[in-house]
Amino acid sequence: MRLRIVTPLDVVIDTPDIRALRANDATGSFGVMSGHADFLTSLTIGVVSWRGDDGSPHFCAVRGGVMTVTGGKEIAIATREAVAGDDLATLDQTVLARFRADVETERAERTDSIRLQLNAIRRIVSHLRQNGRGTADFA
Amino acid sequence: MTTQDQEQDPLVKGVRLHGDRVRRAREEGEPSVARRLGQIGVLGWIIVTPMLIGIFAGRWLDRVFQSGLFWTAPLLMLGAIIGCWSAWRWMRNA
Repeated sequence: MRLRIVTPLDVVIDTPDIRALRANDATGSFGVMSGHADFLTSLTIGVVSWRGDDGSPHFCAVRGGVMTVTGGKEIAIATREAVAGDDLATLDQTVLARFRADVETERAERTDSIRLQLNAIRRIVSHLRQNGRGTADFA
Repeated sequence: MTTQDQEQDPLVKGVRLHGDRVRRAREEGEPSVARRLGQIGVLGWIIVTPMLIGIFAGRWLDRVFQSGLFWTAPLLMLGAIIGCWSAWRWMRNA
């Protein structure tokens, strides 16, 4: 089976071959294997786990989302946020690390945008000074 | 988002809950058949015991006051209600 986990900004997981998958919706935990009937459900916040082609376990924390099974061989999960990891015991730390990285990125973006604004203002002011006082000519 | 908020995030909590469940299942395994039967037996006694207590108390009161079934019936009902309520609570905890 093929598994795709996508967020609005990124394709987090795209694996061509998985054996079985477990996930949680409002009714509890459930499993999907190859040849499952077409299926649509709304996932709860939690962990999606699956076994790869070689039987190795994989995990992904998802913040809710919609899961579809089509043709018994395609699983697609669309979610707001997803953090993948291969070790369940440290997955919470992985999620926390991701949060911290996001905060850091946001801060860097904010300083960059402020710097851009200040530069633009500085350029305008220097332009106005060059073109004589009072008569600004932007042509 | 502060560190405290991050720790309290539902996603982190959900991941930890799932991890704890998986770890517990691996350590303790599926409960044995005898243990399950024991649990079911306990559930039965939780319901029956308050009813029996109600009946005995009612019989005694009836004998003291010479009042036929006046105390036995309501105390039996009360025992059944208490038994079912505590069984429900026990099931939610288990």
